[in-house]
Amino acid sequence: MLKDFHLSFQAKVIIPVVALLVFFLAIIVWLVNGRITDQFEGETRQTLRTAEAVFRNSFEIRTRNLILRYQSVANEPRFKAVALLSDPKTMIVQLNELLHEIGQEAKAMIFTIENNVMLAGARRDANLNLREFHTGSSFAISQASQGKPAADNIVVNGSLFTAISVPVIVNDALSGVLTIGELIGPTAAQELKLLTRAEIVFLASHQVALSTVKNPDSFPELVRIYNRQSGQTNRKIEGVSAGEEHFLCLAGNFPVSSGRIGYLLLSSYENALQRKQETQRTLMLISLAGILFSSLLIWVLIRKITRPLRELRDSAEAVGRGDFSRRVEVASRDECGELAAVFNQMTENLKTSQSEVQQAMQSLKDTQAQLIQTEKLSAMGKFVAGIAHELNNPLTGVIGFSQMLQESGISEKQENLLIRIVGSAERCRKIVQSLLSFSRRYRPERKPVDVNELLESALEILNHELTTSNLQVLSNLSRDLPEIMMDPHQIRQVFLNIISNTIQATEENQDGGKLQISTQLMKDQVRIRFQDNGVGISPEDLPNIFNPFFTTKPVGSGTGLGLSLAYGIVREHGGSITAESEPGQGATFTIELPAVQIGKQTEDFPAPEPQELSQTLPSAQKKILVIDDEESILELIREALATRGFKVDTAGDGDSALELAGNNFYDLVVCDWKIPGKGGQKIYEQLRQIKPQAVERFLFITGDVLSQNAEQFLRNEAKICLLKPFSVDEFRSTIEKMLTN
Amino acid sequence: MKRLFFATLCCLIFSGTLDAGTIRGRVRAESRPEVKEDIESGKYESRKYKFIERINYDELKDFVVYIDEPGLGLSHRQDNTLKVIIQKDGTFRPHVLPVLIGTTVEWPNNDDIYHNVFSMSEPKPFDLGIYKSKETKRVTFDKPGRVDVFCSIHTKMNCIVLVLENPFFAATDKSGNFTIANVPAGTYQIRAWHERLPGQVKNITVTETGESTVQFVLGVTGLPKY
Repeated sequence: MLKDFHLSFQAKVIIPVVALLVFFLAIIVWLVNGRITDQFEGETRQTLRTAEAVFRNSFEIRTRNLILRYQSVANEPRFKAVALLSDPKTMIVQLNELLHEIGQEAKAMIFTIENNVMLAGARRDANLNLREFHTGSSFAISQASQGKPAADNIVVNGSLFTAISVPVIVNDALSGVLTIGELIGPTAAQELKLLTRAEIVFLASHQVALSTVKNPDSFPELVRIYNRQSGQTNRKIEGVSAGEEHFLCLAGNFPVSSGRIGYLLLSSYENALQRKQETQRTLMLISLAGILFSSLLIWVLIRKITRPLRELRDSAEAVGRGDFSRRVEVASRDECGELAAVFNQMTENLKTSQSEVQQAMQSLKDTQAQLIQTEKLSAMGKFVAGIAHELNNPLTGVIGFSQMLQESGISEKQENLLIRIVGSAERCRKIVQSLLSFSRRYRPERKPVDVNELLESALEILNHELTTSNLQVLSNLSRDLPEIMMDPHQIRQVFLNIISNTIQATEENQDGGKLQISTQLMKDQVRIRFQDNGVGISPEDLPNIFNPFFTTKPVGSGTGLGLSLAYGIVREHGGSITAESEPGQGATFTIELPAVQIGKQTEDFPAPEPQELSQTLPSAQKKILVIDDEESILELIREALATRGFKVDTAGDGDSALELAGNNFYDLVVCDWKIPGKGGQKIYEQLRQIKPQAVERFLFITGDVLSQNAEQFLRNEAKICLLKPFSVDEFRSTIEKMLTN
Repeated sequence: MKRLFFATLCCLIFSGTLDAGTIRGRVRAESRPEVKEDIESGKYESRKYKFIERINYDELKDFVVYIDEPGLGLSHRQDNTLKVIIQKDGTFRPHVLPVLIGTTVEWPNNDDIYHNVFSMSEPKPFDLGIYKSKETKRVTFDKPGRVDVFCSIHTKMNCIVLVLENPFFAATDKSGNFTIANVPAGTYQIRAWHERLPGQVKNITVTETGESTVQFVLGVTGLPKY
């Protein structure tokens, strides 16, 4: 499952980028959130501080206004007159009257004279204890006794009052002090709340005396906060919740005589909270939108960036299919562009290497074809050699016995018949020899030869045919060719065969035939090339042209052995011969021969040369042992030698031969190379062990092609091998030659 | 009542032969007419009442009715008794005192707090100072006219001494009834007075023995349009 799961390049880019984006945005949002929170809290704090300033200021102004107001009351002549009277009852009436004249918040009035003695008092509510009020306001009264109005905040009966004491001065003498108790009540609190825009809580003796906060459940908490803060110099604003609402609150104290009156300002940050949340929401929305937008943008960009990649992919696919014509557009000069350029270069290289590969494939195929050809030819060679070998023995018999018959003196008519027999046999022998030379592996005669000269001599030989068949020969011979070790006769034969083929192939050309012969040195090979403009070779014939008996010539005009012979010869020389042709475009034969250095010349293996039959026979009565498994050959040799006066013993196999040779002395041993059981080589070796002098004159005969080892052996032992089919004369002369040496 | 009876008795004794009549009547104040809601023009109030003080006219008291003849009947003055205006519970009682010119009024303080009695009116400016109950102070009013009297301490305390030039006057009782006795026969202008309302003058003929009645309705209804 997971193995199949793979991400596209786009996803690989987008996912991390978006993840990073989200991560950064989250961080930013978090930071901004923190900032916003701080800001809002800071704002609320600031608001609170401002509120406190406003609160204190308003309170002071209120006090001042009250003082002014009550000063004017005290300065009224009427009141002064009453004050002068020092009559409690009159004063009480007066005070009551004043109390009703003055606003609702004035709850008590007392008039004190010297030594803080209360002369008269008036109160709005019956449950207000005037004595208590008097006691509470004694500080303000004492202040006012100095001649200056004073105010103090006091607690009477759990309620807060501002006690304003005003000196009543008549005729530059203090006649008494008028003290008014102005209730700090809900009205005042509401006014202050309006001014400060904060909830206000007054505390007296650790009790909530007055509060604009309606929820009494929160009072204990508020008292706790007040108690916590009021003692500190560095007041900390802290949060508190009253009911559903959240507040930040700040505690403070009034500068009062008793020092037990304080206040708490509660700034609701419900709005701030709401605004904060709105801001956060907005921020989140913007962030989300930003993320979406960025992702989209990145996606588009990635699409744009990966477009060359996709094109490259398509092109690569096309190239993979083998379409090398595809090119990627190099649109930009960045990595993609470079990649495209490199890809194009790669395609180019691929194209060339593809063609190279194709060429290599072609050459491989050719080589393979050649190999097959070679194999085929060598198989055929073996087969042909087998046949030839099989034919050789009977042919030797036919030729030998025919000659013998001729020698035995017969009528002319029979002579004529015999001549025919011999002629036919000769023809057979030639065919078999050609076949053998196609398949034969004997080492040709080697001597340094100039290829160009050899070519020229071949052309000279064929000069007559060339001119009559109107074939124009163009030579392009390289002059710096080294001399090559070869058998000049055989190689000339090869050239002759090829050129005569060319003559035939170009006979029907209207413009006259053309043959271009070129030689050149290729590393350690000399290449000889024959190019003509003849009829060419059809593709189906091309693999078969080196086959023996394969011919395209009309019946009777060719044996089909010319090129087979050439092939055998060239291969013997360690070279190669190939033919290329397009039908109707002429053919090209290429011969490559190894340019072997002259110093490497090996010892010649002298080919047996047919000699003139020596009439002078060596001393007769020589004993000759003939070993062959072929009865007819034994018979023939015995006949042929017996007629010359030799004494011939024959052996059909190796054991009997060794026995004979061990027991008798022979001047010469003729031994077939191939004998079932012990072969010729083995017989020779065993005989050498038994009787070394017996192998001094030892002639091998064979109807087969000699192997490399056999040749090597023969060279080492300096022994001659006579190839079947041989004529009786040939055999005799060889024998005689050996015996005379 | 005692005094009145006594006075009447005196009058009867001393002027039995006099041709004198009695004027009886009633004075009341009337508020402006109830505004009927007109279907077409809504609740329309006459502009006449635009600047009229809105008070409860029915509760108005302290009317004084007097014959508006300055020199009438001074030859047989009869009312030179001491008049009293007391200060009780921070008020002057009575609130309106009509007196014949030359009458002395006593100002006893019956409260146990200080009061002050003073006037700054043109007929009789005076200041009795601040005093308590022990002291009794008197003022003789020798000029006709209206004298507003105040207490310098208690702003709400005030009373009016109406100094008249003939003895034919009367303060109405609680119900607004009045009686003026021993009025010489004749035709007079009789005036109804209230401290806060425009006065009203009517002609009245007093027979020698008969009783004349006159009804006053004070208020704002009779105001001319402007």
